[in-house]
Amino acid sequence: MYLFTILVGLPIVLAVGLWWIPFRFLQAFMFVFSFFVSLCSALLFLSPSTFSFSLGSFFSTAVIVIDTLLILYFLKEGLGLKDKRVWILALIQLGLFSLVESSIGSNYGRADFIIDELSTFMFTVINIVGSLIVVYAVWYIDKESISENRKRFFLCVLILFLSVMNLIVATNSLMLFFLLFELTTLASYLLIGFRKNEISIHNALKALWMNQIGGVFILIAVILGIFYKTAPYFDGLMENGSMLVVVSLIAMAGLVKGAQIPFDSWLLGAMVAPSPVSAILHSATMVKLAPFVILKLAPAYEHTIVGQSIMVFGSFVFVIAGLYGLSRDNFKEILGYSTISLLGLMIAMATIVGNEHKDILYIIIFFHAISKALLFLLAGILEKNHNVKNISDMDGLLHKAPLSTSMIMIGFATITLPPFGLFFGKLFSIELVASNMRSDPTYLFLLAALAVGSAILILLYFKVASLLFSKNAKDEAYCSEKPFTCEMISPYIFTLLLMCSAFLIVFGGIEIPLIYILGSLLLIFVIPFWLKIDPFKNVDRVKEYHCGEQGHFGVAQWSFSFTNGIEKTILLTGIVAFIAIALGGLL
Amino acid sequence: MSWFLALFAPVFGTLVSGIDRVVRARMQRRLGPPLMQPFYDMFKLLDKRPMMVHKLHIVLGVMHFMALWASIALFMFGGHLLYIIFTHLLSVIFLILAGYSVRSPYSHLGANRELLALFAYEPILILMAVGFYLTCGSFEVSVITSNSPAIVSMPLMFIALLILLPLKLKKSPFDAPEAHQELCGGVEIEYSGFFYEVIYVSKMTEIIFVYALVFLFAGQNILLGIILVTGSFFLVNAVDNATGRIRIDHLVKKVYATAFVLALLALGWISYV
Repeated sequence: MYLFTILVGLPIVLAVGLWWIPFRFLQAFMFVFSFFVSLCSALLFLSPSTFSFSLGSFFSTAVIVIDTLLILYFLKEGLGLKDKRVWILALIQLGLFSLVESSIGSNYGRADFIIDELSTFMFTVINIVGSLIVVYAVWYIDKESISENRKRFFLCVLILFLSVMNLIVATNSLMLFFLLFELTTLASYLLIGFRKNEISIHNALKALWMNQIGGVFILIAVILGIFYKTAPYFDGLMENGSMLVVVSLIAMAGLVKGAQIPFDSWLLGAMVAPSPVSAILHSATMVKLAPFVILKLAPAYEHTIVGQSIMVFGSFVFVIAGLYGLSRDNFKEILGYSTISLLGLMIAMATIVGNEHKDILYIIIFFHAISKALLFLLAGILEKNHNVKNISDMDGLLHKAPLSTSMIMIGFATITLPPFGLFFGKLFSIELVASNMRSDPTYLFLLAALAVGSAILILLYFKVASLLFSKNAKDEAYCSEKPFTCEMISPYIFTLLLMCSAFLIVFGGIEIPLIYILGSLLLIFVIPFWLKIDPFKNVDRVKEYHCGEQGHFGVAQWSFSFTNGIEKTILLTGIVAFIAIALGGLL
Repeated sequence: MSWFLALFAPVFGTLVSGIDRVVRARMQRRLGPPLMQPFYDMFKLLDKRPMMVHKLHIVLGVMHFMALWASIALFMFGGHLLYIIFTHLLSVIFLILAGYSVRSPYSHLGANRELLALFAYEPILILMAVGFYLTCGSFEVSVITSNSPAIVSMPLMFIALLILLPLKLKKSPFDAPEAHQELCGGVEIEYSGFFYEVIYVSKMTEIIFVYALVFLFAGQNILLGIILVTGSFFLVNAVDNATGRIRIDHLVKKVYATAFVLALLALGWISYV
């Protein structure tokens, strides 16, 4: 219990305190903070216990006030920036919210917060990955040319966001869930629009109205729940199996947060935000609410049409979002699409893992968070130190920035290749689906998506890698990159965690024959050592074969994109899927 | 026995490659090279002055061979079929990265095509592994080879694998990644001398990997296995002689339209019929 208080309280204390800490000490403070919250969350996760508690009546009034203020703020932003969708949705939310507050019963006798195994797992993801990203964010934001107050404001929002995330994964009450959901939306909105130029404001508003739709889904769910005499609490939803539509609406809100098609464009737009924001909100923690919610509600729609539609939809997104990524040139956008794609996989898996195979989803979520955080941080380093944003500018990057590029390669490898975390997640998923194949024909769809989707991600990442290595025969010299700088701390820790990810999985109690892990690790890590030893000193050099032609030969990348017609069909499929999930709940 | 098979897989591969060349020549009514020609090539290449473009290129090429060999060793020791397929994937990725690491248009094009070919066959290999799991109850090769022939329960999956064979063996109509006439061999072009021999041997080791998968369909019935391997060997060579190369995008589409669909049908058949 007190550990949970630390997890929620410490970020708030630091967020207030950082206004007085001198900027150059800030990173050290953040590092200590990161150490503490990581330790607390790990302790919570390793000591399995479930406990619950409620807030007093003062807090429930406060919640209503904050909620109203929040919606009014959205209304103001919508009117001020003349975005029709934002203020209309804010008005709808306001109407629904007052309807809810006028009709909701005051005493359901249920706990407001329940901390179970799933919440403690989410704590580890949020705190270990999130706080390390904050450590890096101090360096990143220091490189921006803005006033010091804006910098502090940025860090303040990031840290408060951690606190909100810690609360949202522990909440049991749907009204609190709505409030915290809107707060994460607010964080998204503020941080995407942080640079205050035209494109970031446009994208921030897009993120705002799309996520507001998620809020509307939650409110409708609560109203329907009250109408059908279901307590607006997560545990209340589980007991009362008859009200499937409430469950499916909450799940849909989760899918919106997880940027599933047709809501994928907000996450893509979010890539204009500073890199730490993309890392912390838009790949490592906030979007993980989607698989979290789906997994939390899974018992309620097991073996129903809702569960099946979510699974089929998730598998569909896993494949399609990967294909979308092939058409992009901006590195962060590619990472964004691959995040959407893997979120699709997580969502599909969350519907089928059940209680006994939760570990598989945990592996996917945890190691995806680390891999993506690492890649986004490196995207930031490339942007600030080497001035590279697009993959077409990455030509020969290995020789300009050997250290960052090697870590990028490790990031790619950990998502696609043995023997790293996310790869094992996919492998276990294939095994799980195979062992349940006979029970349900939709599993065939999931299996096909797993096979094709993984192949698409390989295609996507190694297409990006194609230019990284390119190098002439003549100039062998590698530039050196300073290894011990403050921006490298968090990437190093992430890399270390990823490299021993297989051992972490074994430690976590899943059996993998060691020969597979050690064999593939050896095969991969022999390469840098071999290069270091350099046994080829006396071997003669030749130039590349150019058919005897003189002159320069550049290399380029291919890309693949859908025609407009197909894109429209995909969008339509997404909308149909959402309607199907809602209808499945109603019937 | 497993040790013997795993250690000498490259030698067997070289031998099979010799037979392959003779068979193909006889189909074209040529005399063809002597059976031991790949070995003679090997001695010739080993004798040449070693030359290289740069270090990383060589190291990745050698690791391609090592990873491929490791995946065959896992196979011979009866390991987990999915791990075997993914170790093989690792080896192909090494080769692709090697192709990307030099600033050579042919090598880059070859690596791009190799990557697309990987995209075409990788899902089908995974589906095939699941098919074996559904028929034999385990992913372990040792269990699959002690069961009754899997080809009886999933003939469609076998046909899917047959479609993949030319792709993996770089034979017509699916030899676009290598395409000697237009890409001068693709990824392998920048290797020479001893280092080319490594790539050459790994190409021949690949033959063993592919036919080992064919053999797996016979389960414990060794005679059937030999028939399947020989039959598919002659079939692949006949198709190689009878067809022309198709473009890489057509290749991906055709493989998905045929082999992938067949594999899914096979899985559906085993599970739900």
